[in-house]
Amino acid sequence: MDSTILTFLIFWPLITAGVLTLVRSDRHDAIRIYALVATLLEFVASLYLLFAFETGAGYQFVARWVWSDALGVSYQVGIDGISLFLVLLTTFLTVISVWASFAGIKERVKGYFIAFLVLEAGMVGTFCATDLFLFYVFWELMLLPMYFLIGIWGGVNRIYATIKFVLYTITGSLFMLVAIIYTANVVHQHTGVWTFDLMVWSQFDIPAAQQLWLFLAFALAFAIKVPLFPFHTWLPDAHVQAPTAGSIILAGVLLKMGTYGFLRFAIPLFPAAFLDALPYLVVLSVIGIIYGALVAMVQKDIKSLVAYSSVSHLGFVMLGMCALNTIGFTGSLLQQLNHGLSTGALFLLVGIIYERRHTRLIADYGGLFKVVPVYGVFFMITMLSSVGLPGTNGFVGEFLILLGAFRSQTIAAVFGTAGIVLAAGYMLWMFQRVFFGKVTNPENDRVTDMTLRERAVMVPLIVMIFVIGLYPKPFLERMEPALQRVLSRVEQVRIVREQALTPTLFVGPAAVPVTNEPEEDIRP
Amino acid sequence: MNLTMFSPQLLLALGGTLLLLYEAFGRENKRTLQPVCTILVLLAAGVLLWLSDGQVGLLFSGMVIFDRFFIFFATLVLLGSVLAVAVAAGSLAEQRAYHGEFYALVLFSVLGMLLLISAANLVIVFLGMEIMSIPLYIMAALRRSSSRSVEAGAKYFLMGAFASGFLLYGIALVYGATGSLRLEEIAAAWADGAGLSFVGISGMLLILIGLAFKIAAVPFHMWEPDAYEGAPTAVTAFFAAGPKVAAFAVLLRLIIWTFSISDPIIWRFVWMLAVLSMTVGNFLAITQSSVKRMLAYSGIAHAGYALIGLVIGGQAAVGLIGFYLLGYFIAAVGAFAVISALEGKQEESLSFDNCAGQGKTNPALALALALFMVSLAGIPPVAGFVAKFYIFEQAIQHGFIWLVIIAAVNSIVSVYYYLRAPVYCFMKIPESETPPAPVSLGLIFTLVFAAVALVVIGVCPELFIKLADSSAMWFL
Repeated sequence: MDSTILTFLIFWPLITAGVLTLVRSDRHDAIRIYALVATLLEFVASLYLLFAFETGAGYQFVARWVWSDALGVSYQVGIDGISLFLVLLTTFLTVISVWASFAGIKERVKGYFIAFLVLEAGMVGTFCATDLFLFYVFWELMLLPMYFLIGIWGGVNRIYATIKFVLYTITGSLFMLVAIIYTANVVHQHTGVWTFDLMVWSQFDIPAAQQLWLFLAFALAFAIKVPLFPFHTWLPDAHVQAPTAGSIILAGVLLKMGTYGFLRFAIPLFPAAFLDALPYLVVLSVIGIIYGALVAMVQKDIKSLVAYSSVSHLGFVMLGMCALNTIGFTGSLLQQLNHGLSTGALFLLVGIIYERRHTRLIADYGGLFKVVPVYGVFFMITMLSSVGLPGTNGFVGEFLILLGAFRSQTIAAVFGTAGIVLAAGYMLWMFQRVFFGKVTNPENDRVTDMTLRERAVMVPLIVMIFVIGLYPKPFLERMEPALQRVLSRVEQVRIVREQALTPTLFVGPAAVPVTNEPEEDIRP
Repeated sequence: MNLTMFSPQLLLALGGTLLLLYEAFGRENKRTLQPVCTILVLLAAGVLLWLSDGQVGLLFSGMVIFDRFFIFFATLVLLGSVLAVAVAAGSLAEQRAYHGEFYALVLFSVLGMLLLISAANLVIVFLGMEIMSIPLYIMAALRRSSSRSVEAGAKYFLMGAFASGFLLYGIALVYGATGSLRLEEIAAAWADGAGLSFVGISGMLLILIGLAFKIAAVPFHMWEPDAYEGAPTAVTAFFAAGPKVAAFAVLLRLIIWTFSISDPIIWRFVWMLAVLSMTVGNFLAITQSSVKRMLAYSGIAHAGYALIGLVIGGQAAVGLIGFYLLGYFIAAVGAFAVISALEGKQEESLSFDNCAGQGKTNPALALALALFMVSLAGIPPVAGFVAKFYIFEQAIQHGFIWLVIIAAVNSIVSVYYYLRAPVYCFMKIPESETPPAPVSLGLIFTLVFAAVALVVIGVCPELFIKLADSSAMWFL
């Protein structure tokens, strides 16, 4: 069971998608229910991971088969504390998204759900793969369904948005592919084995001279996905044009691929280059936080406001990673989950009101709270969790990130805190304009409140927001050991550098090598 | 001498002649029987080929060679021809390009390709080249009522004649430098430095230029877009499958085995061809509004990627290029098959605008087209990706990281235009309703075969890579 569960989770959506192709395409209701049941089963199966997971035991549920000797690639999956919750987030949000698209998707229903199931397989596979070739295959496998989801079921500007999304992603990923093969070559030169196995790679220290370019190639692919400023320009287009469920998955899971990539590959494989790039990454994260928040503030469209808020939130996630201590790391990983839940929920809510009024402009609303109180309450809770109100999940994540960041990147943390204030600004201002005041537009009087299905979709999200907000311990303790391992790899390099630096100080100023040493020591 | 090793070629010659007579004297059911007979002859040739597997030898006092290399590349050619003929069976009549001679010409052309692949003497290289090409010129002009088609034939012929001139001149110079036309003797003369005179090297470069015309490598590519676009689409499918594979095979035999790639002049020449073909092919493909023309330029770019294999050199190049061509031509033939169906009765070549809304009217065809484009773009999990990965992997292993980076940048560019086809099929709203496309049995066969093959190769590449690698087993 333990070695097959991940394989089951990866291929179950593919199999169900294959079966779905045989169903007659005009039986919309049957297709919807089928897709919901399929994803629900996937979610239930994925819960097994949570119960069988041993805290701190490294990679678990490992399975390995040789794929092709000629290419040196293998099918190898396994998860640890980093990927566990991301897999669960994926299966959870897929159920939510599928259920949420029951009413919104009326055309080409079959194709839509097939794309969604394939997408799920790609996402789960990406989080589980521990062979770099396999990882790349799944990474690209996600691309095509998302391309169709935005391009076929998206808004007016969907074609522009989807092509932009694909080209950005593929630009990053092809350079990553070259870097993957090159790393394999470096490992091959030193160990004599031609392999893409992450386990082998991580036991081997890649020479520092080659790390920088490899890190940059990986980091480009991940930074585009995150998206880190200035690689974020695809995101507002893709988010605004995507159908509601597409936005949920895009924000909830696909953006996490980037941050996950940093934690899983870029940082532990190239720690020295990461230390070199650290100051730049910090600056870019902070710019992302502030810039995302400021641009969000002036948006007229609710959906693009939420989209830009993602840029800001993901800046926090990156900042937590750059803090390079346990607190920052755990905060960063937890905030990935939080962002998935809160922003996913926000997109869902925006989609709900859009289905009724066919507009997302803030100016078209006002006074909605009186008309649709249930919707208002759901929106308020979600919005507050996104802002980071104590008691909700957002607070825990942002607090940990800032706590970690203050210890090592104090100035950046100060700017980051400003980002939180700005977030409260744009979110509350938007909420006020949409929900409070008088109903200025008579069409808003006729808006109906959330249906039973819509409430049922929202409730699990709200529950999770509070569970993480009030009792994050079970999440944090499962993440920590895996994050510690990543951290220790960076620490080793840093200690070696410090030792190398100290004796040279006595030789004379001319001999002091120039390094990008962070200013102060930051042992958590 | 063992004639069974030459029996595929004999069978093709015999079959072609009989089909020509049948066209002249046959009366009933010609239109169904001709393609069936052609496919049967091609398949039988394939069977004969594999019956002699394991044997190696020189035939006709060293003119023709039979080895694993020949078996593999001949199989590719035969397979591609079967797929193209299956498409032609339905679509030629539909597009008013039906002439019974087509099928005989296919067999003669394939005969030329097989001769080319099995050549062990430069005379046979030239002979095979001509037997292969002259039917191709006629096929390009098959739709006599259309000026585009006639223009395609004329252009193809002129450029082909030009290429033959280069080839022949090169052969003459090489003969002058080495005193022999036999590949093994030339190789020996090359190895001990006797051939490395100015005359010898010029001759070798001229031969390479002649072959570069045939694989349509930049700057010798001018004919390809016009020939591809003007010819009836089923014929274009045949162009993409057969001649390219055969020309690459002979290029491998000449460069890897006869004139060593380690020679700096050849090496520089080949990598420049590779870089130019990739870059020019991809960038020109972006601007095309005709799907066929876009695929023609994409074919140029793919020739560039495959040439990376040649730059790497050594025995590895053989398996590499063999596997790459396998992934390429299946996707290309499949794509042309879809285009021929979508064109229906229309005489102009399919434009992207014609594709709009096909996802609704012809969902299966549009999906198949998307799959072929994805494979050509090299996105997993289909054959095109594995082939690209294999090339990148080997190139990096041999220290050609710079070439891989150029290829990767090119791949990014190519994704843009490959994905235009699905964008139009599925995402654009058509201006007018398109009728469902006519679908023949042969077309279904080709599409299903190509789609399944691409996925199977993409998911289990091991078997096919081994097969391609085994073709590097030389006779001499």
